[in-house]
Amino acid sequence: MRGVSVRSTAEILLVGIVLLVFLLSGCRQEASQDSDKEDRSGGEARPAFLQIGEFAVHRISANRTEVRDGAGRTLILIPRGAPVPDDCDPRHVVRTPVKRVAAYGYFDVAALRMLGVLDEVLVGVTVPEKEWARCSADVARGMREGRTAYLGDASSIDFERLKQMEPDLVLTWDPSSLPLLDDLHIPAVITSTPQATCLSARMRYVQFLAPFFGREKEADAYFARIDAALRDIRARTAGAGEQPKVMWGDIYEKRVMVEPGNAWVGELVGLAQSSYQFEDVFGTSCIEISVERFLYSGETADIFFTYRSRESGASSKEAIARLNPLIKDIAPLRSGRVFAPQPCYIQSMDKLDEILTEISAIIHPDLYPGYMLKYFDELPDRDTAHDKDTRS
Amino acid sequence: MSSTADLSIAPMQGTFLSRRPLLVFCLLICATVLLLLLNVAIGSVQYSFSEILAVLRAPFDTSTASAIIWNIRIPRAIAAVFGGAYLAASGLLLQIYFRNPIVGPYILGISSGATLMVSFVMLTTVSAGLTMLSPYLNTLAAFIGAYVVMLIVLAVANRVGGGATLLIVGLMMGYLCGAVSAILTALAEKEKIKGFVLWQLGSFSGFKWNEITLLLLGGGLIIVLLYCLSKPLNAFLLGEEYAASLGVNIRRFRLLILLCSCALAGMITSMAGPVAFIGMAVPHMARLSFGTSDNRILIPGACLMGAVVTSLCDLIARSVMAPVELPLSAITAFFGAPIVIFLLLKRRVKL
Amino acid sequence: MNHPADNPVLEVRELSVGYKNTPVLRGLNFAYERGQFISLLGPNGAGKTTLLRTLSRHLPPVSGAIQVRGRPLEKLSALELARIMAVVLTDKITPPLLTVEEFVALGRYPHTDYLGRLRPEDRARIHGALDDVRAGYLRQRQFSDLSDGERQKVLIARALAQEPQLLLLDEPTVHLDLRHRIEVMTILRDLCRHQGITVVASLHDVDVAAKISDRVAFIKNSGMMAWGSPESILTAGSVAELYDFDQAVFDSALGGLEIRGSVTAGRVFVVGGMGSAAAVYRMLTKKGFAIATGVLQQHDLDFHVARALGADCISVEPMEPVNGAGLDQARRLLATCDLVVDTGFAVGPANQGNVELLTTALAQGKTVLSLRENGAALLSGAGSAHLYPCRDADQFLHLLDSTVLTNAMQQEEHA
Repeated sequence: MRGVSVRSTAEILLVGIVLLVFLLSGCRQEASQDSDKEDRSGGEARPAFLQIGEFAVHRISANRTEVRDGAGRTLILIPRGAPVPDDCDPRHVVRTPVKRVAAYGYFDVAALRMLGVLDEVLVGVTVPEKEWARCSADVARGMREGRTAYLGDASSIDFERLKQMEPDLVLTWDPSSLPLLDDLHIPAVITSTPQATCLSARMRYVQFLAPFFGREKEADAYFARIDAALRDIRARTAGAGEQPKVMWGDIYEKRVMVEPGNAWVGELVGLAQSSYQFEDVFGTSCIEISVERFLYSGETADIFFTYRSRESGASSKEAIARLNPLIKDIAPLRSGRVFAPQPCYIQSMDKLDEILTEISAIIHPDLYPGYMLKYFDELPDRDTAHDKDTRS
Repeated sequence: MSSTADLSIAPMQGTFLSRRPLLVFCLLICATVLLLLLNVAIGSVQYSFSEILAVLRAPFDTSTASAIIWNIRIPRAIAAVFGGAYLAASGLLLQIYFRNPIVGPYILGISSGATLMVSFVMLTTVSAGLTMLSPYLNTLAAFIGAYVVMLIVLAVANRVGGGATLLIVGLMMGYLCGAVSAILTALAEKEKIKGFVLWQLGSFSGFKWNEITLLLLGGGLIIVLLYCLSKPLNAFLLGEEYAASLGVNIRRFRLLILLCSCALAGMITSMAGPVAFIGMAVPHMARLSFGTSDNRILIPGACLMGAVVTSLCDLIARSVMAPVELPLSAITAFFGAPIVIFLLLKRRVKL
Repeated sequence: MNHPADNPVLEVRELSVGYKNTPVLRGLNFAYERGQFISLLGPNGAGKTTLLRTLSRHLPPVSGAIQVRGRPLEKLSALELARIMAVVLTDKITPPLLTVEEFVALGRYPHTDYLGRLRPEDRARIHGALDDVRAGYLRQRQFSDLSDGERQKVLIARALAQEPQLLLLDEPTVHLDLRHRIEVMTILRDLCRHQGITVVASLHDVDVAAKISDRVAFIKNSGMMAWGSPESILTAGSVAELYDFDQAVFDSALGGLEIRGSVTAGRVFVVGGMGSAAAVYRMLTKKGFAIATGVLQQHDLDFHVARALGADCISVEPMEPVNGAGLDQARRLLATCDLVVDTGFAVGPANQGNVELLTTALAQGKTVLSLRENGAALLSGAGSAHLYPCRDADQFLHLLDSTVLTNAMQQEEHA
């Protein structure tokens, strides 16, 4: 879409709305009836059936909501005090609102924060306190005060500790923990999916979690915020003169990995009037590709995002180039720009709107004058002495 | 005596000019050349035949195509050929030495030692101040790990002799190194594990020209040395005691064989990571294809067969789901295992 | 043809062999000459294998000196030793995909160049070795497909391909059937005779060893109990002592073992001689009878067998007639026996006395089993009702069984 001249604001809005509709239906298995109903009713009439990628929420009655998690398992949400119907398997019944949650990783913790229930319900995490201390003061505080326990690494949970914290619900990505959780009579939700999460699923994930806590309003508000950010991005970048080319991946001594094109990153990049160099690569998460393709795509790229933060080896463009001389000639390392996530990036998924905006600002800096980077660092050309000291 | 009459009628099997080994050699050489060419011509970036020829004629061009073909594809193709050859030779040596058909080049803990050092470098902050060594940091670490294990193996072999004792010591060292690696993995930051897991899967991606030079020179020397050892190696087919009675200096021979085998395996593992299956299966394929156990034929034969199998598997690993790369060890096992089974059933040979 | 040479092929002085400074055998002194066949005999675990492995330099000696062709063993290089000495061990090796010819060709190791290329003289030697062991027809077969006997022959051929002067074999005939056992032993003997190779083999067949060896060594009780030619060393007593058994007897005249039995059935008096009674003694021993026999001429075949089997034996000097004191003794013994056997011995002027014994037995009413063809003619007279002629061994055994039964019943009746 180079060189298309814009005629009027009306046309911009039209294009924007059309493209937004395309975006919302771009993910597979997306039903579109939900958004209309929400807008009209103003929050009171809940949608009967909501599908977000693999996840689904089906409100059957005031006292019964069925949800389907990322592994296709069905859980039945029944408010406290209401009777449990006979046809329900008690192992799959979750009493709402959930009061105690153990969550794996970072994303679900951020989701809890999005719903505003983190301080009350979080009782178990899989990351030690010192990792939270820098970026998530609320979680760190909860751990200091003993409300939240460190359950061990996600690959080796201390189930005794978990049972000790008596969670009502476990948010996990590890299906192999299900039998054990079943034995302990703790309901669990599988939060990972076979395919990479598309942008829409990321946005709507809170709407899937919301029924567990009765925080549908907060979820909707969050969705609206992200939605607004996306609209803003679309609006701002519609007039962009250029379409920068973006790469997202990582470089090792002999191998390279990239984020696949069907993940939310690829979508966002397309949304922000730029092209993702690995659009054709499919996968669930970062995946290895051939060095030659990386080099080939890199020769024409403008911006490169790495996975690793500056402390983990991506300290400067020169440092990265030295890691793997075969791809040192890719354009971002020579004359383009390279960005690494800041340490708090991974804990900030509740600020998805800001992250999306920042990525857009990175891609089109001229459209966002005066923007201060909060989640990414631009890598300098060379390691400074200061960097060498702070590393290690 | 009928011997003189027989000499003219039936030349002894196992001499160079008997028909079957010669035929198989020719086939393998053709296959190697063909696969080299294919590996240069095929990749995740499409180039036409004329483009490739133009690039090959102008090696110092600075275009992307030149960089890809000269710096990425050609080194990788050569590395796959030699890597497969060296791994197969290493496995062949150990199978003869231990007289055990299920032994591979990593049985003595070579790859575990390399993995351990690489895990130190990649998963801990030990390497933070060593960035001046990149891009060779991992290779160097793996090299050190593999060769330290090799020295330990040689020292042990010197003391207790060969056979089951040495095998068990090697296995235990492998387990030990694996255990420490596992602990480091459990304690490492999640960001770093990705890269380490990738290394552990083994691949011929990312070879540089100076590594290729080292591979050709160092490995080539060892292969030549090995070929000169093929006579005592043949004697060793009868076992250590008979070999000693035939005049083999067992002590020196033992050390040389272990040195050659571990050096070859260590070289490949340090540069390409642990590549499974080639060292264990290709000697069997070679033995069954050539129909002999004579090492004067088997050493070059196994090298060629290893080169062909590895080149082919590398081609498949990077082409089937291009540009995504599949793990090389999975492809080699996937195609190699049925072939070994088929050959065994066809020949009904007691190995 | 043994040429007593000035320097023996192998000589040991005060040799102790064993593992890790623990001696299994001590104080060994012997010398092997060119072209000799030496058998090492002894019970399991005595140290024969240890000795062989020390001589072949697979084990270091605990103390003492070994000299091969006049030079100390430890000073020889591996290749020099390989050109003098070859071994055939008990290890079961099955190298895959090797033809017999390739296998034997490995024996040329000490004589070929660094790549092991075979020249025409090497090929000639290989074919010659295979012919020597009568395995030329196996040339193109796969080594792993051979039977035990064939494999043993090929192992020897491989050792021969080294052109050794000394061949050490550890239990070469253990798993072989009779045919291959004889074949291997005759091959080894021929190697000694025709090619002048000194063969040292540890064997268990005392009788075969006795017939083929030039020298025999008894290995027992941490040392060498005896050393010399089998004719002088192998006696009933020495063999029984070597192997510690009493259920059989080695007779050097017979050159083999006679197996004794326990007495369960009764006493039989056998009238025999001239070699007719040997088989009868064995049959009776098998059936559990105690045997008394007479009157035999000394050094008759039957005399040796009877003594080896532990029978009460009445004998006279060779060429002396059967009469007088010997006959009286025989009559007294006859009286104590339940059953009498006439073995059908040849009758002549010298042993008419034995015929008298038979007629006396008949007259006394003793049961007589006769293997004689025209027994009725010779033994007519009183009591011939108790004479039971037998045509052959089967009928004899059958009658023997029924007699045993009858006797047993009679004894019960009397008891």
